Amino acid sequence: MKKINIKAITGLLLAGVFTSCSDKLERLPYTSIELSQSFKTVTDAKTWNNGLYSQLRGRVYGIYQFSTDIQGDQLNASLDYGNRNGNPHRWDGFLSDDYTIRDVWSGYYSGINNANIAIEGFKTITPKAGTETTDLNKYKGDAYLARAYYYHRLIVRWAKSYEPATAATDLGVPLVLVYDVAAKPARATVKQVYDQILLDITEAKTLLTAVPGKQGSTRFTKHVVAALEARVKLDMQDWAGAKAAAEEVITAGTYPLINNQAELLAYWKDDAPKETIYQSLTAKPSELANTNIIYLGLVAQTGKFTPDFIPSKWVVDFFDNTDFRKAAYFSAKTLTIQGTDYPGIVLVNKYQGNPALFTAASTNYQHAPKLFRIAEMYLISAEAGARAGAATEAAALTRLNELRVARGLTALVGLTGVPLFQAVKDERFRELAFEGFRLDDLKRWHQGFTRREPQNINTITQGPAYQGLTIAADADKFVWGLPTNDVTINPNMKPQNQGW
Amino acid sequence: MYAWGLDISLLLLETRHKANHMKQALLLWLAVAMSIPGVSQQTDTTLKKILEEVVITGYNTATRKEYTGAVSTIQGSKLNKIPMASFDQMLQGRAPGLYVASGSGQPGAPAKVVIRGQATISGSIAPLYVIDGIAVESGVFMTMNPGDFESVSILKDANATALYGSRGANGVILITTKRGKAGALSLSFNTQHGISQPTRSSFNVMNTEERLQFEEEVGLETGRPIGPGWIFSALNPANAALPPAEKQRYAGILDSLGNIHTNWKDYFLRESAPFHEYELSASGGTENIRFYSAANYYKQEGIALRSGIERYSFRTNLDVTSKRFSAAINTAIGYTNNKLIESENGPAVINPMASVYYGLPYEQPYVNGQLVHSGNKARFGGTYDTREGSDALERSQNSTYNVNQLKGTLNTALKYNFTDYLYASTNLGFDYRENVEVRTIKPGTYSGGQSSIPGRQGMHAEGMARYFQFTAVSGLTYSRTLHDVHQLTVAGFYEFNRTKYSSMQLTGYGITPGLAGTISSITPGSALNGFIPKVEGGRTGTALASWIALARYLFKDKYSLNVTFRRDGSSTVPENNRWHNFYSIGAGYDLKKESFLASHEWINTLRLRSSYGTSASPFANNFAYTAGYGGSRYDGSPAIIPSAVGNEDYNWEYSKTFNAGVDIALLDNRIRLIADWYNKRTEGVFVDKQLSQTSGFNSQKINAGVIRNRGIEVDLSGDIIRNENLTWSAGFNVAYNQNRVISLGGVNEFTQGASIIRVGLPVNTHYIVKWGGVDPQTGKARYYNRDGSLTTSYNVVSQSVATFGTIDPLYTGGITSRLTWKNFSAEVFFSFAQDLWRYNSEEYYTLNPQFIFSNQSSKWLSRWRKAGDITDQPQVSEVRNFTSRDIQDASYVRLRNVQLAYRLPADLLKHTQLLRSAMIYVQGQNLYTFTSWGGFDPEDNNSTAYFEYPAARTITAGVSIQF
Repeated sequence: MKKINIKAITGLLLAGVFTSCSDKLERLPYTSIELSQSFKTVTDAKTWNNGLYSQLRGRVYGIYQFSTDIQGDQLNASLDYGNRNGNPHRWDGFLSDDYTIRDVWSGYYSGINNANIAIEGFKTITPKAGTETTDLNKYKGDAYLARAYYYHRLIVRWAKSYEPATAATDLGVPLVLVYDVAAKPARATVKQVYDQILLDITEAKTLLTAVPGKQGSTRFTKHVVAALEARVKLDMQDWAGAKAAAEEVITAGTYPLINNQAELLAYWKDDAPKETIYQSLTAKPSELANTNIIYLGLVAQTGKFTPDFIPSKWVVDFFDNTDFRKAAYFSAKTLTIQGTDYPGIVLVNKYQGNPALFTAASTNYQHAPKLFRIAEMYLISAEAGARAGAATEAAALTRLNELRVARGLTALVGLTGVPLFQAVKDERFRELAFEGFRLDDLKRWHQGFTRREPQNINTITQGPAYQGLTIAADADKFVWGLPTNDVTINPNMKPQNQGW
Repeated sequence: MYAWGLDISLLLLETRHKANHMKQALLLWLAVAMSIPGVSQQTDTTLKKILEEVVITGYNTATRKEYTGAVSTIQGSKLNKIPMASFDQMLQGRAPGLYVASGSGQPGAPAKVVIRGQATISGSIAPLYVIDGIAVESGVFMTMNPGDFESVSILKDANATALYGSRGANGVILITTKRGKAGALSLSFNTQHGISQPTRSSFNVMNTEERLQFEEEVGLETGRPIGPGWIFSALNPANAALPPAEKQRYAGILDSLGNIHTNWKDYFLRESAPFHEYELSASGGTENIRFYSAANYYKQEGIALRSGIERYSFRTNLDVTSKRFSAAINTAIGYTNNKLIESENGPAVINPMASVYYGLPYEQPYVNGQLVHSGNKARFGGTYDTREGSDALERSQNSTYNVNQLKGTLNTALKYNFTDYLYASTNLGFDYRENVEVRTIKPGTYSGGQSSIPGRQGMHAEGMARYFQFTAVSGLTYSRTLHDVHQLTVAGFYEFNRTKYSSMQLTGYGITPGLAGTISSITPGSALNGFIPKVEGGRTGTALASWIALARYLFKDKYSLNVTFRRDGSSTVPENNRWHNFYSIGAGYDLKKESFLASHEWINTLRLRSSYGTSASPFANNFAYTAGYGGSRYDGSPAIIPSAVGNEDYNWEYSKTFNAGVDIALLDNRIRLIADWYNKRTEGVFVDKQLSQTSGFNSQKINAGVIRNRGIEVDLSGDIIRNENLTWSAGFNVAYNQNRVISLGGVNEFTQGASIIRVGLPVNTHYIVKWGGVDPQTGKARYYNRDGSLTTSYNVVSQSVATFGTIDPLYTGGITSRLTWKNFSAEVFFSFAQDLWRYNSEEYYTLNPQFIFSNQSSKWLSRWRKAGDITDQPQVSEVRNFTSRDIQDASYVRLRNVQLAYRLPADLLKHTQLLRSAMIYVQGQNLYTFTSWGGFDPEDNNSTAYFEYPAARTITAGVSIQF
């Protein structure tokens, strides 16, 4: 009796011990990584750094790029465009709750959030001397530069252009530098945002000073820092600063201009690296980028095309036949619109898809997104020089002509003043067409536009909001509205931009 | 009508009269016989007292007079022979407040089970399932043999569910399995065989004549060539100038098409799908060791081609008693092979339930015994039809979709009695489930060569999912009656529960024909051959630690008081909310014990109960509170990016339930009534809070909403005739549940597709544009604007209204009646759900000009053609939009089961010296449905009829023998 008693109690006790031993309520999810687990070593930092780049790849091209070109003056909506991206194209129906505005805004801010967390998190890591320290500095520099890039995109799209006289009072976008889900940030001024961008660029410059530039780099280098600095300072009308930064990249000689047809075709089709200061790495099948699918719309079965947007006639005609870019950027195709074939319509062929990235028999429009190209540095140097005054005009014309000659055009002679500036603008129009610059340039130059004659009126959607649209200089919607969601939720997000 | 816990009452008796072996043997016989319809009613009816019914409360058992919670008990005998593979489906209509809705007629498919209404927007609605004290996975029952179930208890109110704390708010379903009784070995053999068939013969689609005429008319009305009926029509202006010989050829084509009458139902559905079940069980033992052991084989073909289930299950329950020590060891293991159709519940052609509608009636699938599909039709000189039905048939023949399930539930419950009133107990157990899911498409076939298959040479996908749940409960129980008037039970437990889930799946290509069906048939992929396989998988898990206490006090059998307490610590909530207390209190008062009722002999019982308490429901996602970072790649190296915002204040959705009930028995217990009223308020319901996107995220789940479920449950049963030869009993249960969104924490509403969550309305309220009929002058569809005006333009954002009801029924319940005369017995059972509305999306596809190349509903024939036509079907050219027209009343009353049985006379069996009892029976399941629903089956687990596999009608005949 006694014996059984002891055995039984022992058994029951053991069972109790067994259960309490497994008392572990602290569990971590298996399929995602908790924040506390992600900043321990330099290897963690490397993974984060890859995340920054991977995220950046998802925030270029696609709607991040073509939305402004659709809003601009170079494209007509095809008759079969199905109202895809119709709101920005028509202007009047473009509202602050438009998905374009919402998605681009949230895309940039989530990129900033990622950089913010990384900048804070990297501080908690103690690297060993040597490569660990060098690497961690690189990762830090990348995070600052990514943040500067996103803020620059935000300030360009959601605020008036930087005017030295009013920048301190013009409203910009909220400056979020620390991760806080509950924060309800107010709008900073344009100047505050640009100052922050310059601060981040300065940080990045120090941290990335030892990272040499190379053609087609898929990581940030000191040249990428300079290229962003040139772009930002041009916006700020800091002509000397913009010119100096652009010249730093040009004179390094790393990225010679392409000066023949074959190479330029390959540059756009096959993502040849020669002129590229930075491009996001793209690889099939799991590292694909956003695509600029609006321009072609290849129907694989017929080999014909149903694009959403077609370049206007004057845009095509703006390219001289000797211009290597004409063949590289455009291609005459047979369109099928509403069941009817239209041969010989010129389409934007800049993003036809790199065959090396195809995941099926026909194109998936994949390219390595090019964020900074050397040609833009020539144009920045030329524009800064042309606008800084007579003293720098000659040097500006030299840079402009270097680009023109390389592209198969003749050198311009003796231009100064307004004609020189206009020549720079025209070249910018051509060189950077469909790369997302046009609307921002018009806004910066305080120019309006009138959409002009299409190639074939029967292939396009017609109406006063389409091919007949005229927009005055500094029209409200050059500056995008703050997304409705944020205005509703965040009482400090005010006032809404004019006209929205 | 229910045999109120009879066999458990018998068990109680058994313990009271331990010495009486004679009686025990008798009881054993009775208990075994209980499982046979027709026998259970033959016993002493004085035992049928409502308050003596034993209720299984979890962690403990009590009689109803001690207990103050709301519990419904379903006897195993109601479930044991029903020809369905998943036991949850059998619960439909059996208990008030328990809504069971099956989404599929696929044998083995689980049902949606809701107790007392939906109290969440995005969380889990599934009740907690517990078998013999061990929590098991919900929704996975096809491998369990319901024949092993002794009883199923449905715990509904807080007094009952607070004991389960953070897992109890959706209700708890407790299952106890059969146990052996001391005595001679008793063998029982049961087998039944039968067929399943579709419940309706027509799909309301056009026949050949109608279709060809329709094609011609559409051509005349719109010029749109939708098929040969127009293309070869003499009325087609394009044919007017043809030479006479060609015209004659065209007429010939139409004539031969007109002679083809394909009924696609004959190709995709089975008219008599066989059903077989065999079950052998044995039980017996000595006073110290008793066992129950049962083996079951269940095979049911589905009414859809190639679908079916085959199950092998085995259970042994062993009881060991050694002086003060006792142990119960329960083991159940089963293996199921479930064969499924593809893409069920979707509009894709590969779903045979959709192809039955889509296939054209003049499409002949076989020519000289060979299936003609899009892949080989050129060899036959082409076809004039779409080959939609034939392609689906080809796909069905050359693909497989099988799920093999291995499931085991094991537990050991140990008990040691320190004294007669104090014992220690521990119950350790686990629930294990492994699914192997295999999908294949044969190489060298049309389906296997589709461009969607990399390499175009077939596909083999194999996935494995493993689920494991471990539960351990240990504690002390003190139970004593003092001075004959104070009956007290106090118990305390510690429980630990751990779940683990992992899954992996691979999909490979380039199938080697001879090896098809196994992973070895996959060709290793490379960039060159294009056979790059896909590999996926995931893992998750939870841990839950709990302290539990319960106390029950009964004074003079008149006043009862129940108090429960549970403290739960869970890994699924963040640290600051990790531990939470749940409690309940309940009181009962038996008026019959008062002197003023003593003289009213016609009242046998009149007891009032009330309870209040708290509980919570588990989360749909185990780690929703953590700020997580998802994986990515850059330059071939790993990358992480923020993927989930997390929520540090993430907390349970807490339910607070008040319950008031009454237990009444009248006229010598011939009329029995259990009724409950409840008010369940669930606070902290998750809503998606929109974030300022400058935070880097769009929305966050926060505990902000309030949902209320309020209702009445009535369970009434009575013996209408009760004498030696004849008994006739009837039962009726009904539940009314009113569901309301009380608050959404700041916002007033948000839409979820075609439904809306709005304060003041039920959670699953339809939200769509109101149909305004067809304009008799123009034939255009009209829609109502919100201001009540009619328009022909459709805008789902600005016109939608929420006046079309909800998918959750207001009333549910069941009706049953049973007649026993001598050795014959008959039982009928109806289940019903009323006041619910669902989308009939099948009509969206079959009354839609966009899908007009497929076969369409014959309702097209009554469409608008000319000014003045009064009809509800617009002209052919009208764009089809989703409107209130697609919402239909899905209320139904279903004749769920009819059973007829004959028990062989005892005199006859005596001579055999072997058989103790024998019975033959026939039954029909799902015999008839009364409904105004226009689709195939009103019953569904979601808002939309979408080419689901309809429930079958099953008719079986069987024999049950005891040795």
